[in-house]
Order: sequence, then structure tokens, then C-alpha cells
Amino acid sequence: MNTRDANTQVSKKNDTLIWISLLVFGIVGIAVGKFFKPAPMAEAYVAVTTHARVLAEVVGSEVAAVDGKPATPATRVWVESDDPQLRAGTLRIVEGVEPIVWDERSKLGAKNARDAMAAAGVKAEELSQPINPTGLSKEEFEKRESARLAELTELEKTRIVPSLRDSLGIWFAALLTLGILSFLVRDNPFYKIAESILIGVSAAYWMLVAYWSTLVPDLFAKLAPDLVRATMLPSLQVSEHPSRDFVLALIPLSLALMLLWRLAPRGGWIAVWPLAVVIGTFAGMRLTASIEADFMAQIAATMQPVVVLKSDPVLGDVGLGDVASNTPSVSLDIGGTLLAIFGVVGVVTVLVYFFFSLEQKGVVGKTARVGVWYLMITFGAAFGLTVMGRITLLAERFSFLFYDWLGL
Amino acid sequence: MLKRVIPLVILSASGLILILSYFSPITESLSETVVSWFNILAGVAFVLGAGNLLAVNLEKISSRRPGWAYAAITLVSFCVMLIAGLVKWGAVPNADHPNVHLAGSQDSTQAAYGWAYEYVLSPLTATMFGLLAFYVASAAFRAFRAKNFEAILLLGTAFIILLVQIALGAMLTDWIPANSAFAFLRAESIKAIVTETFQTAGMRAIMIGIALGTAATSLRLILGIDRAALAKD
Repeated sequence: MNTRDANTQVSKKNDTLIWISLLVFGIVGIAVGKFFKPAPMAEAYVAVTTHARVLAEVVGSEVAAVDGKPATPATRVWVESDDPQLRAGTLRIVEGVEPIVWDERSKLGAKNARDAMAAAGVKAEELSQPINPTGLSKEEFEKRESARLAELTELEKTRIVPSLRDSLGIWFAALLTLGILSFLVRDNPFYKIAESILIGVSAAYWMLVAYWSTLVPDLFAKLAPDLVRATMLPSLQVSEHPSRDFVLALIPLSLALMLLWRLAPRGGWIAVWPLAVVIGTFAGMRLTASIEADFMAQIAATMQPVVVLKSDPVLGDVGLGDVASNTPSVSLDIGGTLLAIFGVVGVVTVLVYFFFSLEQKGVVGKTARVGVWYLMITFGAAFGLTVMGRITLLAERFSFLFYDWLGL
Repeated sequence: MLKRVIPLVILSASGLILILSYFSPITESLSETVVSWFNILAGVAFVLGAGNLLAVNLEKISSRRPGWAYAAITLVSFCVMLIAGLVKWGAVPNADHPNVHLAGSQDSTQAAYGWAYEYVLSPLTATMFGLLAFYVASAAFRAFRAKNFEAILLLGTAFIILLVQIALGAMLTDWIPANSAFAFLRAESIKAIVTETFQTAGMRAIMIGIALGTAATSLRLILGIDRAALAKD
């Protein structure tokens, strides 16, 4: 074993010792914390709001058959079971359609839940009595709903209950967080499991985002609008040209299938056609966007007055016209002016440094050197901000572990 | 012809339509159609990626290559998340259309998809990025050496930015009156001067350079000068 290997081994042993010491220190600290503040772990609450919707018809919206024109049925809408329009008679409940009742659960922080319950003077278990009337007949349901809603307070309508599902979630998230952090000691199966879960879940997540936000509304809705309206997007607008939309949608469908052909063992070149659409469109979009939003906008932002004026704190800003008439309420902002000059000088010098067509000698070389200094400051600041951003993320994870999971 | 010329024509036509639509409202609707195709294909690219992930991991499992158990975990998590999101398991019904299950929202933790996002994806990605803090700091400690003036500028700026963002930085400069001539030495002013003047100037020049590079590369692609992007592999 040579000296370098021996040094590496000593360094690894030291690293392990440091991490084990930190681990022991952390466990002892947590035990002491739990002793002085015995709070439950992974405490989670949800605010449960019960919704009850009934199908109603707009009274008078139906049109009878006249002169060979077919009759139009009344407009139907789902409304809350205690909707004032039902009592007013502008809506009437459709007979034979069961009301739909469901609970909506919104996650609450343990502290927020405790504060809300303390403000109402009640305990969580008192508010968790089930009030879901599913299974009752329509008359019984309506009677009970109107009586119940009239008596309930706002807090009772939105009940706060402990949530096992969210408690399990906090446990799961905590174990995965520890799994990832365990990589600091060394690569291990616990880390690899967490990493594998991340890969699988994130791949499915992005695929689902693309499916629900793009493929369903932009492709499937044009190929089979009635089916999509009935099963996925009930608020989908009825197109004025459904046939044209259908034919046009066949083109991206074909291109999509050609792109997926890449997975086939033979004929992968077919995927080049849709790839050409993607590259061409992206190039076209970026060409105009980069010239307009980056090139022109950055130059416009640089071409600002380098002489900065400041208004008098007492008299206020009186405008440039008064400067000409020597009104004393506006004066030169020396600091602002210097910074504006530094800004312009920075942009010009860095651009000179990037101008590789010229040999960087003499004046050009000196200007480029100043540009390099600006770049060093830019990269240093970017580095500092990045590190702080990462540390903030890490602090949030520790905050989650200590407060949300351990309840310290 | 099929493998080289037609893809090149498609690429140029798509790009030119987009450029023309910027200058002429006549081609605007055509460009919107092309952009919607682009969005669909970008969406399908995620499906392609998922298909590739499945193929790679299935191959790893079937050939019992080292680490195949982790590939199985990846596949299981992928399938569970995908199915839960496709069928909107546990979704909150849409208030206007509670009878259409797939119209419901699955953003809250009530739905399996929202639960997985909140308790699996979000903590894992945040921890993964947080973990980089250690490695970035460690790499900086090893690599940053104040060998010359440029390195001192880089190191000094990073140190100042890190210092002024923490409580110690504010404590060190809080004694300087905010309305005095030396107020620019207060932590918040130093950060503002460095980021809003010097860093902004540097970033502006970089952005201008990137914009010119992007425009030039786009033109090369659209005019068919650069054909490497359409090579099969």
C-alpha cells in the first residue's frame, strides 16, 4: 500500500468518525428534546368539508317543439343541496337522480389545527363525528341536510380531524429524506432504494403532467370530443369545426406514433420526422424569442441614463424640467450614478471579452481583462446564491424532520 | 430521400412558419397549429421516455444484472404513480360535474397522486438538491485557491454574498446608520450592489451572447446548414 492509499483510508476513517459522531449527537439531542417536550410524532390534521350536490334544472329553460324544430330539454346544473335558488324556485331538483356527497380534505399543519381548535374551544375528537348522510333517501337527505346546515357553525361545517393518511405520508417522507441524506456517509442500499423510488415516481409524474395538460385537451379532445367531454373534460367547448379539428389532429397523432416507433427494434429512422417538427418549431420559436426577449431587451435595459437624479425628501420629485430652472429640489445621486456607470461598463467590457474575432491585445486586451473581473464577480455571486439556496432547501428538510416528523 | 431530405424540409418549414408568423399575422393561425403539434409531440416525448425507462429496467431485471432489485423498485414506483394518476384515485370531485370522476382534482393529499407528490416526490427532490450544498461547498473548499486577482474576486464575492445573507452578516454591519454616508457598507446594501449592478451587468452580457448564439444555431438548423441534429443516432 502506497502513501496515497494510506492517506485516503485515514481520510475515509475520519469522515466516518465525524458522521457517526454527528449521528450519536443528533440522536442524544432528539431524545433529550422529546423528554422535555413529549409531543406525538408525525402529527397531521386535515380540514374536512362535506359537499352535497344535487342535479337541478333551470325552471323555464326547456323549449317545446315548434314548427318541426325539436324540443330542447331544460338546462341542468349540479348545485349545493342548500342552494338559495332551490328555495327561491328558479331551480328544481331533477327526480330520480341521487345526490352526490363527498368529503374534501385539506391538509393543515399541526400547529394551525391546534390553534383553530383552541379558538373554537373544542378538541379534535369532538369534531370528528361523521355527518356524511350517504345512503339516505332523497327526502330524508334534504330534510336532514337543511336542518343540519342551519344549525352548524362555520368551523363545524369544516371539521378538523386527525389524518392517518397524512401521518403515514410524513413517516414515509421522513424515511426517504433520511435515506437520501445517508449518502453523506457512503453509498448504501437505503440511499439506492430512495433514489430508485425518486426515478420511478418522477418519470410517472412528468408523464402524467404531459398526459393531463397536453395530450387530453390538445389531442384526444379533438379526436373524440364527445367521449372526452363525457369522461374527462365535461367543460370542453363544442368546436365549430369538429371535422376539420379531427383531420388536423390526425397529423400530430401520426407524428406521435412515428416518434414512439423509436422504441421498436427496427425502423428507428421513422422517428426523425417528428423530431424534425420538434427541432424546427423550437428553432423558429427561439430565434424570434431570443432576439426579442434576450438580445433586444438586455440592450434596452442597459441603454439607460447614467446620470441619476434624486428628489428632495421634503419637497419630493419635481421632474426634470425644474432641473433646468435650477430648482433645488432635485440633486445628483452620486452613488446611483456611479453604479449606473459601473453597470454599463460591465456589459460593454464583458461583451468585448466575448468578442473572440479580435485578438485580445492592447486596449482590447485591457478592456477584456476588466470584463473578466466582472465575470468573476458574477460567477462568485452566482455561486454564493446557489450555495445559500441549497442550504435553505437543506434547512427546510431538517425543519421537516424536527418539527413535522419528530414533533420537537 | 425519406431519411434525409424530407426531415430537412419538415424542419425548415416548421421553423420558417414560426418566424413568418412573427412578422405576418396571416400565418399566425398556422403557427399556432404547428406550436400545438409541437406541444403534443413534447408530451409524447415523456411517454417515449417512460417507455425507454420501462425497457431498460425490464431488461435489467430479466437478465438479473447487478442492482436488478433497484430496477424493480423503480418500475413498481413508476407503475403505481402512473396508474394512480391516470385513474385519478381518490380525486376530489369537480364541484360543477361531480358525476364525472376523471374531471376531479388530484392536487390535494386526498388523492393518491397528490399524496405521492407531497410525501415522495417533493421531499426527495428537495433533499437531493439540498444534499448538493455539501458537495458544492466541499468542491469549492478544494478547488478555490486565491492564486491571482481574478480568483480573489471570485472567492471574495462568494464569501461576501454568503456572509451578508446570514444573521452574522447583518449583525456585523447593523451598527452603521442606514441614512449615513457609509450606509452602502451595510449587509443588505452590499448584496444589492453586488447582485443588482455587477452581477446584473455580467449576466446581461452573457444573455446577449446566448441570444446571439441561439439565433445563429436556429438559423443554421432552419437553413439546413447544421444537419447533425437529424442524424438517426
